[in-house]
Amino acid sequence: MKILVINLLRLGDMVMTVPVINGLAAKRGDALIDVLSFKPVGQLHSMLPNVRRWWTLNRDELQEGMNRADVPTLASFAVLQEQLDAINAEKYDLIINLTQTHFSAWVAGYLKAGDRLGLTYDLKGLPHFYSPWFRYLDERADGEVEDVFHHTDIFAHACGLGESGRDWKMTSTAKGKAEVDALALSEGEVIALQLFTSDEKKNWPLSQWTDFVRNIKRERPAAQIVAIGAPNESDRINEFIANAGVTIIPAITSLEGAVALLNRAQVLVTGDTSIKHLANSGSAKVVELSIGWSDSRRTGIYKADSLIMRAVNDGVPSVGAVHGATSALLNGNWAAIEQVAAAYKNEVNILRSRELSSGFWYAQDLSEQCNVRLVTTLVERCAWKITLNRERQKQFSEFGSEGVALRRELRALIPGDAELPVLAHLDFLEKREGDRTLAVSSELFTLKRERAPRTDLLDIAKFRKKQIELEFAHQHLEHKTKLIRTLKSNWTENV
Amino acid sequence: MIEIIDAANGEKVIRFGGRLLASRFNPRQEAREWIDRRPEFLEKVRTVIVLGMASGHHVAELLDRTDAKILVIDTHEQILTASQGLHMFPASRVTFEHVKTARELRASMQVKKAVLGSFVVLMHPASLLIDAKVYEECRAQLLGRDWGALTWQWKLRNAPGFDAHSRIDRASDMPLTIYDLEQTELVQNSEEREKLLFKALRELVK
Repeated sequence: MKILVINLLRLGDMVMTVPVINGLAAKRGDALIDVLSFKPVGQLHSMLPNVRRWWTLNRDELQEGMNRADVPTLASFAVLQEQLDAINAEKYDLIINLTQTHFSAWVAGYLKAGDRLGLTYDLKGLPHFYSPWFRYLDERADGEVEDVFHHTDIFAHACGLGESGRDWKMTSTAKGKAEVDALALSEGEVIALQLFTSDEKKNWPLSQWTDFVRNIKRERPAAQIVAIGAPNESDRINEFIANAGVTIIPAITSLEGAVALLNRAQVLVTGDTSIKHLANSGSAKVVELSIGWSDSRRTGIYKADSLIMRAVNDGVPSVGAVHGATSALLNGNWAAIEQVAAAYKNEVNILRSRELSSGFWYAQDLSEQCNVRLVTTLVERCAWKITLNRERQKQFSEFGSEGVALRRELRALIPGDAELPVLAHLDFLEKREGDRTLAVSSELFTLKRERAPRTDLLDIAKFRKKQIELEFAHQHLEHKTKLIRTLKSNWTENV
Repeated sequence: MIEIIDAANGEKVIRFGGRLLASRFNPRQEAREWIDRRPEFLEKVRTVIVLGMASGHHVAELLDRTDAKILVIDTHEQILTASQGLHMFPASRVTFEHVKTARELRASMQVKKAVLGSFVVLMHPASLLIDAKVYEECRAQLLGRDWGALTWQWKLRNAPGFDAHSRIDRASDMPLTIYDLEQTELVQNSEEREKLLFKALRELVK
């Protein structure tokens, strides 16, 4: 089976789809997986042996072709058409678009395939998702939504890989290993830093980095601190090192070098970068500093037992908090991390990433004493999972087994003495969701009583969209209520 | 009228009508710098159309920089002949066309074939000085930044029409852009597959 995976965004977005590529290869022994990305992202090919062929589009060149008067008007059009026609000649059985952008949707529409997944525009310009998971992604793109799945989970579930674990494996290449060897690191502890992100607003201030490395070096004098960066960051990294006042090794590497280094380091402290996502495949523990418009709920570090630190009031995490958490993480001391989380809870949220057996990622706030939010989130996500999987697979989801799995999950996450409020909270949730179900039923009833517009196509489309949204919401609320009841029943039996 | 002289680095250079058609010091280096200024699409297009053969060093350099076919257009047959004598261009990669007017360019089978696929146009500056008017007309025809030239190219591709109505009343001094193409009937109202590509490209310049 020939599969084309489209990802026409940036490097980090592509890395987040690695579990899908590896998962498809593992699940379908006969799969020949190709990728279509923008040109710089093609560097990943050497580390992803499950990808047979890597097609690239040169975004900059296509843009340049349209903007310059000395390039033929049709040059970008002709180049894009010839490239996509060459891809069409491969006759893919399945095209999966893992990018929710207009550009990728038009490209996906032009490409021919036996089957499809992901946003695609047809010749009328209408969007098709081919999986409720992608529609969910589209509808919840707004940053204000209460809770969302991690993008990697959405992609995995949409491709039928939700229940299997996420395989982030990327191959360390000889070139990458040689780059790490050239750093001449000794046997001891290695602390890797990624100082810069793609956006100044997401960077931790350099003054904070300086204080942080000084504190770490004072506490762990033998540790080797390595500053990772791409060649275009070289000058800034060297300037930082010159002013830091402690020994820092610059690691200006290729992506292959970065992956190899992340297998050598004990910890990576980073902002919201593609290196963070690459670290999912390495052995280094990760401390992510989520600053500015970084959205760790959707794109945070996925690997279990990593830390995400986000300032409470739109600021940046303090040096004390980052130092304390990093140090405790290096020591593998979760009690100490919880103490740091409690001590700094007014200024920073410290989240622990977990891969739940329910088939999704969850970042647990370590400073929260009450587990109400945890219960709400897990119930919400499991209910969404049932709703979204049911529509495509047309299978009867077992609320009983989901309830048992959810109970097991909650018991593992919630200490014994904090159990009683859970039941009370489930009562509250049942009541709340019951009320919401009634409200949506009423709205749906009212809408159906209204006559659907018959002439104006735009009005008909709006009417139909509203109807689908309400039906979907109603279905989801029903699933959630059933799940809460099942969980309550399981919970009580156990008590 | 044509003289062949030695440049300082030992390479041969053509002088036409008293005008040197390449650097008298290092024509190959000059050609390299000329291509460096316009590298877009060289690795992607099927044909590079070069306006002006001159001493041919830029064509020789292009051969090393692209896998595309190279079609060289020149308004003087003597220059084409003399320059080919200075280089050993493979016939499978480089072809030549002598045209005296833009009309002859439009009629050329080689040009039509090139325009059917992806191509870029490179104007050799020294040649432009010899026959500025004809070269400018040929370049405009190939760039297709006005409706007349664009329509000629689009029809050659046997593609569905952009618009049922001609655009002759449009301000002619403004070069066409993707924004104009987006407004055509093809992109706005049709269900032709080409529409999807224009829609995609438009997203890249938003």
